[in-house]
Amino acid sequence: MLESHLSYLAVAYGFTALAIAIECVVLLRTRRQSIEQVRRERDLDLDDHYESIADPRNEAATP
Amino acid sequence: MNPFRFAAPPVFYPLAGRLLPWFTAAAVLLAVAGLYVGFGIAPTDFQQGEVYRIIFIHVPSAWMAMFIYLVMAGYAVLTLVWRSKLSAMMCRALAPTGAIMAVIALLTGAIWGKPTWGAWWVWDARLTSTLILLFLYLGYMALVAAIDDTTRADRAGALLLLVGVVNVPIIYFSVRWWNTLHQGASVSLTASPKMASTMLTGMLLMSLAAWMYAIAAALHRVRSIILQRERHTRWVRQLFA
Amino acid sequence: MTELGAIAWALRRDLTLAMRRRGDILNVLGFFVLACSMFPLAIGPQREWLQRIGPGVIWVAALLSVMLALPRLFEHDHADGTLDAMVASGRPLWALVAGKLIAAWLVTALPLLALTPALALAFNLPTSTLPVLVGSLLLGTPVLIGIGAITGALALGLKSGPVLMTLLCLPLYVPVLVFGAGAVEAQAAGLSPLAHLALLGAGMLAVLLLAPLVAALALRISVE
Repeated sequence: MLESHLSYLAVAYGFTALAIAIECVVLLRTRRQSIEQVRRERDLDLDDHYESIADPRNEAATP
Repeated sequence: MNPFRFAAPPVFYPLAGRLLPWFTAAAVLLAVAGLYVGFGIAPTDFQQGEVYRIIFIHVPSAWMAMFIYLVMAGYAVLTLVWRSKLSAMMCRALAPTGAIMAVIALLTGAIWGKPTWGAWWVWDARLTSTLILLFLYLGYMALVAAIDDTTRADRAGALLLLVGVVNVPIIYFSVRWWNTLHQGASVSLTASPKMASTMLTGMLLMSLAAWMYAIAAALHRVRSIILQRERHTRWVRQLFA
Repeated sequence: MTELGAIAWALRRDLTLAMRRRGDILNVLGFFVLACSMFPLAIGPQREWLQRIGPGVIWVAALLSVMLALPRLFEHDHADGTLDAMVASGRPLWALVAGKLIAAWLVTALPLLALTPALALAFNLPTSTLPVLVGSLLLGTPVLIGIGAITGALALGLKSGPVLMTLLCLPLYVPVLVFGAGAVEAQAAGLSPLAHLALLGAGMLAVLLLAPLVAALALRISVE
């Protein structure tokens, strides 16, 4: 029972590397899409005096 | 200094950005160290040969799948009790990474099982519990994705996580009981009791690497979530002039 | 309205509504019998095989039958606005939910229990296992309904509601299935089923106490 079964090892490590690579690619893509969305909506909105729903400590709209 | 200051998205976003490179670097360094110990120093196993080295991925990923779920449950408590928006975003940020860890654990477990026990899947307690954990992750992700109202989605997901986390020990206990009843001597894919200390060191280093990686991935993902949710605010719009 | 009054009110109401839709009960029973019948059709009618898989098959079929009936628990009331009225009313929501859960058990699980001995015979199960089979279902079905109520409340009103609810439910059902079917298998193997049944009983008590509260919280999250 001392066979190396190296092919199994390779598949296991290879799959893991692939999974992590895919996750990283998706992370970067999501970030890029989020930034694009921010830019797109900002350019569409002429009035950007919105407040964050979550935090009252954002700067208030300028008069 | 008020620690709750960091719970505000405008403060947390840049903080996460500054922490991100450090956790990424830590993950890479620990992984390199772990693989070096795992392949360069740890000896060949007496019974299993080289293929046992799968544990340097299988065990860390299984632990992380479990640990991430617990962390998510912690954030779920904060979401429900303190109505913290950032906590809800952290739950959503952690979920995909946790699910991927569970998938990796299951697949490496199957790949390990074939040469070792002769079958791709042996329904052992640990693997079966991990499979159910994966479904708990997928259920959470499906629920929050199906609800349009953000507040309802956050709170429903949080309640589901709490119900799930209470059930996880019960599920694990029941599956272990079922397993020992039906198989007599438990056929377990956990490493043999005679583990060389170098093997343990390798596993520990890889576990820490997985932990750092999970934190880095969650920080990156939560930044994107913050951008999406807060895209109408002044502070976000001024970020990308 | 007192808590007990609220429970009684919800129970009476749901039973009355269920009586007007008797077809639903037949659907549940029909599914139960059909699901059980699939297995001999699939693997062959050898008596030893059927005896071996019988407890598991009956338990799984009962579990699925209960689960499929559960979306009805809140969806009808949600569709016609009654649920909103219940949540907004000053009455204790957990008590109203508890009444609904009791009604659901009477309408869904009780008929299944009545049919179980016939199915046990169809699978050639030894008569000594029959009390344990019925007993385990008696203890387990309230837990299934309680868990289903919580997940049904969380998935309320969503387009993919029923399917999503089953995805959320089934992992949580695993311990109930393991202990329930395991009790019958233990009895069939000549061992004592008491440990399994005790765990089921503990689960049932926990669910009786907690499920109405948690489901009420889930309803508030979904509706408010």
